[in-house]
Amino acid sequence: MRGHGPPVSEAELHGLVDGDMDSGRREAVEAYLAASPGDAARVETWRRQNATIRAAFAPVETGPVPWSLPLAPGAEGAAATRQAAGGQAEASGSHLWRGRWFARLIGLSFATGALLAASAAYLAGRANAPEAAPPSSDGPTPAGLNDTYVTRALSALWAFVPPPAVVRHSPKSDGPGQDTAAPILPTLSVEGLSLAGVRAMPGGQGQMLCLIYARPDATNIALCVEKAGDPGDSVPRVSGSFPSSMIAWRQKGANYALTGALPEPELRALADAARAEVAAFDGW
Amino acid sequence: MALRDELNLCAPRLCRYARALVTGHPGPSEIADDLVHAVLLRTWEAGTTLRLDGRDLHLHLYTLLTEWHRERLAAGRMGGKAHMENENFHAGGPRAAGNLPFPASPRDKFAAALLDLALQEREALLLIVLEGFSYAQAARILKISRTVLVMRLARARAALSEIPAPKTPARPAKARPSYLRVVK
Repeated sequence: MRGHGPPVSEAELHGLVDGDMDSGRREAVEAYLAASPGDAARVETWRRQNATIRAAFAPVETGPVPWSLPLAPGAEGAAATRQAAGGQAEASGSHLWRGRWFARLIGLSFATGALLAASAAYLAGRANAPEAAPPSSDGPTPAGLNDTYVTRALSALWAFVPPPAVVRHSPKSDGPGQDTAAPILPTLSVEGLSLAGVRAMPGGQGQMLCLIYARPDATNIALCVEKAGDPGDSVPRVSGSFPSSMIAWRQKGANYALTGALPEPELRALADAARAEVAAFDGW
Repeated sequence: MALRDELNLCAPRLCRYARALVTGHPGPSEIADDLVHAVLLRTWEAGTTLRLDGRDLHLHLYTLLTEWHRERLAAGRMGGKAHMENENFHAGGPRAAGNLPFPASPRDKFAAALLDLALQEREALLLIVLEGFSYAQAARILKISRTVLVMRLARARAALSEIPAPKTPARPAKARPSYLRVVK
């Protein structure tokens, strides 16, 4: 293809249509097309093709995306990933996967409602409580570790869908200027447990943080921590019953609650591990 | 901008590309939509380690989707019982194999014309024309040279000739945004 100056290549004709060419060559290419009706017609055809394709798919970009993206990379997410990658091509798997997400979303809606109700009850309880509650470091029942706290801790687990991001939970990450009065978050480095995420919820003394750990059997465990309103430590106390049992205690100025669908001995063992880590914390 | 926000922004365009690639038409497609969903999930899962943003994230999403679509086709051919859903499981398209009657409606003709393209040509055409990537970006997504990309593009355009314009489906009354779930 020859026009003015260097030959015009086929690639340059496509580049002209797609807006991907050196600006210095545009004039030369257009001059060539003016002298070559055949190629000019081809270029016009390509332009019409482009316009047709773009117009055909314009509704997808502006329309609703047909899913809400839960972005919860649990077993379902991994399964979906594998499925979409080509391992299993049956549509039935896709239906099942969508169904599970739908069911989960419904469940989450109920859990959110429960969480709000529990929070409201807790706030009401706080509002009616006497301003100066006596310290209760001498008793086996930690102050503040009431049923509402249990409910809130449980609701953290119910409503939890683990995000993929690994959350730094070591107090070391706070740096030298950390708040030394902040509750200690134990890593709970027990074999088989992996930190799946963190939930922050309103608590009695500010925020309550719940570390969510995933077990190999796909059940979750929540370790919730909030600043204690009262000083002193307390012994762990079990409340509720399997599978909604919980162990709560107060230690180093924070209320702790461990909950999960575990038999009491296992829950106690985990609580002991958490307490040991909190006790061993040297503040860095 | 947070990763989830960027993914939300990319989702409709990724969905458009997936549908065009898989079915050749803009209507809902389980396979295409599941592919998009899986790509977003995987990217979200790997987000903290990949540390992608902006254009790199965009390229990554399209690269992943293109590769997974190819793998899916390959798995479908090997398994022999893939769900078709108007999908082109053959390099030259199902019509090239003489298996399907030629469709009548403009929309079907449009989809058929796209699906009749070889997969590699369709990928190149859609990335450039539909998604507006530069030649360099599209070549990077497809892991080919710019020269090969232009060759595929040229073959696709020659094969399409006068592509019949489809009747676009009516737009929904109200577009709902897509959300990524946030745990906080």
